[in-house]
Amino acid sequence: MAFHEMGAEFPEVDETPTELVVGPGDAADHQTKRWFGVSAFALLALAVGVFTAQAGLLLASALGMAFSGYGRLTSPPPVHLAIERTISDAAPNPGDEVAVSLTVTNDGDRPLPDLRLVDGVPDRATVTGGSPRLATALRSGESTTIEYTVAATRGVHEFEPLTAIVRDVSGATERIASVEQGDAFACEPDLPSPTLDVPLRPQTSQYTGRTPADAGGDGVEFYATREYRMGDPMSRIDWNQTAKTGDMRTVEHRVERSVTVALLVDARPSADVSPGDGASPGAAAESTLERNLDAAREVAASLLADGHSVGLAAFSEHDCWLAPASSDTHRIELRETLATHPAFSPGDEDADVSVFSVAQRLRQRLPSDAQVILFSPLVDDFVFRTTVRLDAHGHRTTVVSPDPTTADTSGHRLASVERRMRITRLRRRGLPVADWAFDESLAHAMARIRGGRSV
Amino acid sequence: MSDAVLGSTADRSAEDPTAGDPSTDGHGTADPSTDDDWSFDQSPSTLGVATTMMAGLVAVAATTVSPPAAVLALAGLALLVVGVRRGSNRAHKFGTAGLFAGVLLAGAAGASPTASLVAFGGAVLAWDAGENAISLSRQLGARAPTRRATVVHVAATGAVASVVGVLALVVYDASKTGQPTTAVALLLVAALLFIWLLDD
Repeated sequence: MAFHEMGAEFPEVDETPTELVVGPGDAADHQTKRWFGVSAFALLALAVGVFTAQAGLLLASALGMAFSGYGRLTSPPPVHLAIERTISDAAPNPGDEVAVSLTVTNDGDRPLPDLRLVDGVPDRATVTGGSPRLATALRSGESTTIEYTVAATRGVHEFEPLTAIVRDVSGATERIASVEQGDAFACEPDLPSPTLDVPLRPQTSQYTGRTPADAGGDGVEFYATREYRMGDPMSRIDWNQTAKTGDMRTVEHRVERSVTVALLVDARPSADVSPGDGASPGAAAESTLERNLDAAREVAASLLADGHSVGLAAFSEHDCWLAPASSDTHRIELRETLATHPAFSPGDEDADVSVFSVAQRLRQRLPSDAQVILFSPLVDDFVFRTTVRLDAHGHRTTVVSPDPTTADTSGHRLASVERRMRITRLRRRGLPVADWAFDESLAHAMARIRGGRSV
Repeated sequence: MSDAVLGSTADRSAEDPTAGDPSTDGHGTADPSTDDDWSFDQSPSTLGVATTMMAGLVAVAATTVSPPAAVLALAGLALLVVGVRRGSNRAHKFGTAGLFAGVLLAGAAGASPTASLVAFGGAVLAWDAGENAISLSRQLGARAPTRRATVVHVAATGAVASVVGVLALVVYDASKTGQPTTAVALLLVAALLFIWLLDD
């Protein structure tokens, strides 16, 4: 339960700014000039009244002038608001509804005749019920409550400053103020239960684990028989074969090894594309970045469950690096990083992300025999070339590629064809690529690699 | 290259920096099928439209001494109400002008002082309620609760109109026996002085 309270005292402002951008903690007055028209009609009534010698019109003109005086006479009272925001769940799961309740109390001595409040809903949260906006009038000491619900999506959601607009009773002057609160809720999806059979590339490293290596030795599965050598344990001698041929034969089992895997997520804003505009309505619900991260979570959970070491890096303007490990604390760290690292929040579109330097840094940080699993929609050639280079440097790379393309316009079809050609070129170089369509489960896309792999 | 045709989800900013309604804030949620789904529903509240209409009808009723004036005022009111309903400032402005023109015409055609005051006051009230409703909906949208602010605002304007109107009538009646024109002229001079003083 997040709880926060603060008082906000808005200073008196003399000048009338034309631009009404108010920073947190500031206030600005603004003349609405709404009574000017009434003054014009009052003077018109005066003229017509004098011309036609009608007392009624002269009286009406006096009434109109009284109104323009009313507009000038009133001014917004000093505003003193106490604001208290309550968030029902500070750590929701994705898709949960978070109820937000904002209580605003008029702590000033004078009533506020026209108070308009706009709560600063976090940028990426979506309001699902109620309204974060309210207009009311508050007597001194009275309070009002704004209640609404937002749908939680992955990441840390910080509330933006509350905007309060106070008008005087005639509406001639409005005072706009913005109040920083600093409340937040964080939505960190758990790593799913390991259900995925991640098709790692064949590996030759020294640690025992669960990935079948292309080498014989200690293990469970039969691999080959070979000639007996001095020192082979008795239990491993293939007695049937020995009896048949007279030569001593030794059974070798397939060695299973643990693998160091770095998950590399393409989190560049330019890669966060999704099929918009109803081409596949249900499918558009998730952005490509979220699909990348969903896939990374599933793969990480399954790899960790199989005893592999899992690290994490990202193509992003923010440096994101988690060294490969397999401990329980590492699992938690991995979950938190995937949920809340700044690299994975939709960022500045224009940010210049050097894919090559990220890959360079990754190569320096990774052990030489570590594998890489790249999560990328493969919508440009930078990632394609970097992937080929990583693989060529000995980091055997597998690509999981959520398909963001649609076929509704010729431009989209062109992008789709280009992407498919990149996938084909990667496969031709021996890199397994899971082309993950929107309406498909990740397990299914992964299984297709396993089936069709020629390595 | 391909990102240009695909379009990024990250560049889709809401129209209003503080917006959080489902209609404006689409980050991470279902993309809308039409452009209209992105826009922020700004239609004014029913209460705002209703108060505008009622005040306007009072003004129109007070102009019935002259049928052409009443017709002009009614046409103006119709445009005014439609303008408020749709949140259109321009229709609201022209409708108000029509309503006021009707009121002036009725006054010029010889409406009684009481009728003139009621018509003018009603027109001001209709304009004020409509303008307030449009401003509320512009700032807060259609979904925000605004009933209390609307009621307080209309009540305050109505109270000012009633007090000033009754005061004007009392002064007018008191001076009827003597020199009505002098009294009215004095009243106007007082009002002009008042405005001039406040201007500084």
